[in-house]
Amino acid sequence: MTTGDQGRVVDFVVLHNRIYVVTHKTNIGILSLNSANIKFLKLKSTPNVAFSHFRLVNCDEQLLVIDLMFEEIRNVYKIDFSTMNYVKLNTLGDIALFVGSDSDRSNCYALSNPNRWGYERNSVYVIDHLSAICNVYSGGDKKLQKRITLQASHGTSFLKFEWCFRHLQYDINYSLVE
Amino acid sequence: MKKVEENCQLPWDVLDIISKALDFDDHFQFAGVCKNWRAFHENYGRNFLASQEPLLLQISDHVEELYSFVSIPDQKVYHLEMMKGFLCSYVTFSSGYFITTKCNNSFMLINPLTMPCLLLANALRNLSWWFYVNVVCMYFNLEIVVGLVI
Repeated sequence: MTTGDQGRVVDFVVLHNRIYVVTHKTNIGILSLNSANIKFLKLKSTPNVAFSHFRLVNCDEQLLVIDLMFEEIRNVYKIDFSTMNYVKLNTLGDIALFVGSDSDRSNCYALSNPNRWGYERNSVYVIDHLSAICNVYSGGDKKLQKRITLQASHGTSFLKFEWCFRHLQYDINYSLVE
Repeated sequence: MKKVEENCQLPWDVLDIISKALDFDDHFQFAGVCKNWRAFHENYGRNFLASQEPLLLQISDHVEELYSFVSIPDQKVYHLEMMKGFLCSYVTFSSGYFITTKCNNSFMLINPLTMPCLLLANALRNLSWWFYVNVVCMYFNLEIVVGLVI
């Protein structure tokens, strides 16, 4: 599989029964498993950022791009498919984002109306596994709001944390991508 | 009252109160009490996997990997002691299964609610396959994967 000069694929997510990928150059494409090819979107502009980790999130069938730097959220963008543009979000509104402890590998998740489960809206929950703390940032100014100490259930041995969204199950429609 | 004792037919709202007081692993014993409790447990399992509530999976590398679910708002830890005997390394959780690897180049799908596991032997033949496994297990319908490999 080649991506040409579009960059190296760093994350992917399932949206509208298709697999969307993002490269380290913030290009977005749709992966075809039939042809092992990526069809890149013709976006009018892409954010000019370096030294970041980019994660893709499906938030209620909207495509979000998270710009992560050392497990801190720098920016959140929405892909506007009608204008084919990155739209920088100044607030997360009624959603919360959940980021794992390993920015190279962990998945990001979004949850709308998080209050019903005891989480704050317009917030980003980031796990710091070294100190077993969940840092909560504002979705607006990205400032640290609070730190939640996680209970250690098995003594002081090495801990790893992963967000677990039990209901998620994705289906791919191979015929949608040529 | 006699009928309740004979048939173990406690109302499900009472079983709900009981189940909330239990740790995760206790549900296996809970399901073994009688048919009614097993039916409740099966319903509990379906609801558990369908819930949108985010949980944190905590893995402690203490001699062997120990697993627990953590509810941050409730500050509650659900221990998964039953996972102890599998001697495996966690990859991800998807579609209701723990996806884990073993040292003999195989990986396992473990349902935390029923615990039967599916061992896919010698599946991790090389790095590219490993990448494939990560991709597939995280995002695709596991039934398709299992069907392909078996």
